[in-house]
Amino acid sequence: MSFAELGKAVRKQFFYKFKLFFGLFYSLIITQAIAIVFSFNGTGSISSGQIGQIHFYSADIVLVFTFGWAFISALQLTTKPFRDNEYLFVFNRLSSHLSNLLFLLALSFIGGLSAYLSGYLLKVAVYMFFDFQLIGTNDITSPAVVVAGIITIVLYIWMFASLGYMVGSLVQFQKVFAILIPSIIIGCLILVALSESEAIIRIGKFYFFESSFLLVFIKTTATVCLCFLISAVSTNHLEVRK
Amino acid sequence: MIVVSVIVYLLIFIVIFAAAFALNKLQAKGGFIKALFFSYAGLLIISSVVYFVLPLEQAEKAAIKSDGPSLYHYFETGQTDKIDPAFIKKQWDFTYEGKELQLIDNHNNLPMTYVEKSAEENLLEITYYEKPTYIDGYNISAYTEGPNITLSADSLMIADYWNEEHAIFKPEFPFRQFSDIRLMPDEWGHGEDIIHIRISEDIQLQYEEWQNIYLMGE
Repeated sequence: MSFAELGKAVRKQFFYKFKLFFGLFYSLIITQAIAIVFSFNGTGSISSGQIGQIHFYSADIVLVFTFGWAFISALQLTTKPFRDNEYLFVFNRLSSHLSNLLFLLALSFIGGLSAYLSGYLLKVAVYMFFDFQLIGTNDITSPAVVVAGIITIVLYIWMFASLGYMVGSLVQFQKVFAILIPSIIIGCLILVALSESEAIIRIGKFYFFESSFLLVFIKTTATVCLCFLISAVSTNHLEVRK
Repeated sequence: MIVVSVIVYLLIFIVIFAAAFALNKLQAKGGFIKALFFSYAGLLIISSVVYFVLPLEQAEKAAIKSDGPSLYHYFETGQTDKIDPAFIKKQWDFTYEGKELQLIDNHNNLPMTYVEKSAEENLLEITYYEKPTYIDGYNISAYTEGPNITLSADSLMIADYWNEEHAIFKPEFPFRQFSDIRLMPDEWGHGEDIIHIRISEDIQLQYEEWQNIYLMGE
């Protein structure tokens, strides 16, 4: 297959998948709606004798839920019912992976933009319907930071989607991963909750405490590439339709 | 309040959804999801526009600044007359003719209380001092209320004075990581606050030992 043919196949598959898997946005809306309701209690709060309770509002919970949605959605793409749907259009494994990579980027873009805008929905709701005195909005005034922030949200979601895609591919490769990976994830979550794993906290800081946009871009895209490389290698032995 | 906001948003959403569904004459399941998706997108866009149109009243932006010696210093050294009057937040003047006065408070976050005896008769003068309080780069002094003090029969009630709830909006963490803004404030400048009671020396003040009350000059 020539490069031009591959490009054409990828494009065709991408648009087909976008149409076919539009239902994923249904779960996105539900996920974000639940996260917005959870956010009504504030992302954090402090209290002081003189002023009382101060709640801090941001769409952080929506973002975290969207990361989870991206992970699960990407994982779903590798499951049999979803793979069967793309059967008619798959030219080879590479075109399938590339179209999935682009499809997940598109999902991440929509998920990221809606997560960002949901912050305004949350703040308007708090202002209009809650009996709180507003102290400040802390709006970002620098257009460069706004653009960098939106791109970063999309990159983070894409990264989680790639992780989900990799996990799904590994499960296809060896069924033992279906038990192993959830166990590792649950174990990690318990360690984080118990604050006993310095390594996991360092991984979190490596991605989410980076103040240079260029480094965030490099770290996330490198992770995405690595995940897709592992996915491609692990499913290489499989036929297009297993 | 959560229920009210959810209901209102649900109603707005249903209106947009119904409009989108009717306009597009969408079919079956695919049409439903499309209508749902575009309704949600519409709601998000409308909210974003509303956010920038709303007259969001905010506290004055101000950096923490030093405002002279501690209030405690003035009280410990008996130099209350040198306190900047700008720090007086509330004052009460009562005429009390009794010989005994019970001091009651609900011991919830009440500031330290200094009692000063005076030769004046029937005097019961209370001043609440408060230095500016800063949080997150905002001067929130205007949001603090001070205690509620009432005199009834032979007791002076100093009531818990905060029940307001406040909100500070923050950008989401991917924006915060490229700016100086943090979710929880780094700068949290508590303004000192003190209650100063001036009372006739012939009035016997009664209070419990656990109350934060200090007699000046003793």
